[in-house]
Amino acid sequence: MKGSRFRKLFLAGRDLPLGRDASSRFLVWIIGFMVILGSLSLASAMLLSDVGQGWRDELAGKLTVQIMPEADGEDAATTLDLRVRMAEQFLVGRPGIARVETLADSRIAMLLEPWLGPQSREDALPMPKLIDVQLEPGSGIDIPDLTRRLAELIPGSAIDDHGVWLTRLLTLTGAVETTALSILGLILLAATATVVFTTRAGLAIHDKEIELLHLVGAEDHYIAHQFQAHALTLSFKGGIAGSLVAAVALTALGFIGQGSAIGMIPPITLSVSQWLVLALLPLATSLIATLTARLTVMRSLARMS
Amino acid sequence: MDRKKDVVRFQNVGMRYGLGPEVFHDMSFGVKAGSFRFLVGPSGAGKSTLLKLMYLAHRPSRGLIHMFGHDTATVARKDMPAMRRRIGVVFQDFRLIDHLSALDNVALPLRVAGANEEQLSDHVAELLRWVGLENEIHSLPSRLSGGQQQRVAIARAVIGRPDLLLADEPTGNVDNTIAMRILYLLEELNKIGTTVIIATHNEALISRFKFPQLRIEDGRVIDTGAETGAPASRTTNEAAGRGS
Repeated sequence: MKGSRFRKLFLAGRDLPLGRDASSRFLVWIIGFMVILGSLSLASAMLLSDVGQGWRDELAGKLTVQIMPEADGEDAATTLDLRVRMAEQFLVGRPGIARVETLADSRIAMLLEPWLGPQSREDALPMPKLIDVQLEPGSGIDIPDLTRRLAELIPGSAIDDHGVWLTRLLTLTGAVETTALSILGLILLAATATVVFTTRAGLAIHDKEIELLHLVGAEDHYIAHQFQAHALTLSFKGGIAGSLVAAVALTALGFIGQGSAIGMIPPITLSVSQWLVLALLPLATSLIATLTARLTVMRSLARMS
Repeated sequence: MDRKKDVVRFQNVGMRYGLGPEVFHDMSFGVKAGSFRFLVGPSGAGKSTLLKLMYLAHRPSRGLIHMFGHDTATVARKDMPAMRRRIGVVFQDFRLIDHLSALDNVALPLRVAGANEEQLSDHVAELLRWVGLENEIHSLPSRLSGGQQQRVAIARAVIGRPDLLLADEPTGNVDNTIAMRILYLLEELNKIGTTVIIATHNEALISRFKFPQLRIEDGRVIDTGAETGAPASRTTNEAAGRGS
């Protein structure tokens, strides 16, 4: 009984020589390429999602106070330090503020180095002072009011809550992520269409054998089973091959990205759960191909006779 | 005629292909369960078309066809396979599947009916031995002669013990010895209750096996069995004289 069920599930397809069709041989390659593209799209979407979430986690509840240097001359640095201390005193202990930390000059220079080069460390340019402010969760602090009062106390100061550019960046990454997922959807749609055309070609090529099967009493689902088993085999082969190629490509990108990760761009590495999601793609493709082949055959046969 | 026992019943059936002329018209006849009939007529008279209507490959242009008591026009599509499994067909062009062995070709009707694979092989091999193809069980049709292919086609038609066996020139590619053997096989099937209709030009067979005839003349069918009141099978004397 188990053997018979196994045959029905996986070995059906012997009655119709579907493997001999040129169109079905191409299906392995097409599915393989589509799974490569689909895996890369899906990985891109997941990485972008991670990047956005990372930015949100890192910058949520944070403010940066910027104190611009105002005076030139020998006492400029002293004046700036004095204004920074005044700002710290203003901020520390205010309701809703958990931590206040002034960034060291070396740290500011390091942040600016990618844009200004090593000269930013040589005091060649007047550098602002930056104060990192951590807000208490759910503080509901009135940022515009805080900004106004600080500016009254210390002219030339400004508060950046990162909201404006973070929103823009998240909108951008969201759009790219949506595009990547749309591409994945289009790839799956194209794969579905390919299976439909291949199956229809198979039906046309083997119409005599199909008619014979009907005449000896085969039900439509017996014939459909042969096509779906064939589609399952081909799409699984193509899907696994495509997944392996995509995995190699993503691993290589990860290695390359490790050395060049800068600033806010994280390295291209996927988590275990993300790899598992990618591993589901060939399975999903096989499932789609199998169902598509079945539906195509059942609909086509229903239109006959 | 007892319509309840008619395996095949045609009522005013007409058939045309596309917009062409009618192959036959107002064809009315019945074939009782357990009958044996030769279907005869000149070339182009419509013997093959008549068989195609019986094995449900075509629908008539007009008229009613009842198979096993069911009006084929009203049989639901999902019920057609079960009806077709009651009919064994030997096609004139054999219609064997090229890439399947003789065994797998013969096993096809059982396999589509969901028969057990283990039992199926023994049963099929035994039948192939009976038709003299014990050494060709695993041969592909392309390696078989015309006569051997015909015997595979016959084995496929009878493997499922059909209620109705339709054969289109089943002895066209075999020598007289094999032809007689095939007819005896079909006669044995008839004896255990299978209704047999054979379209043939083989006058030697027709004269030797004196079964009633369905004769197509001028687009109509004349059932010599119905006219003469002949029994379904040959007379005892004829049967006793066979194979001598």
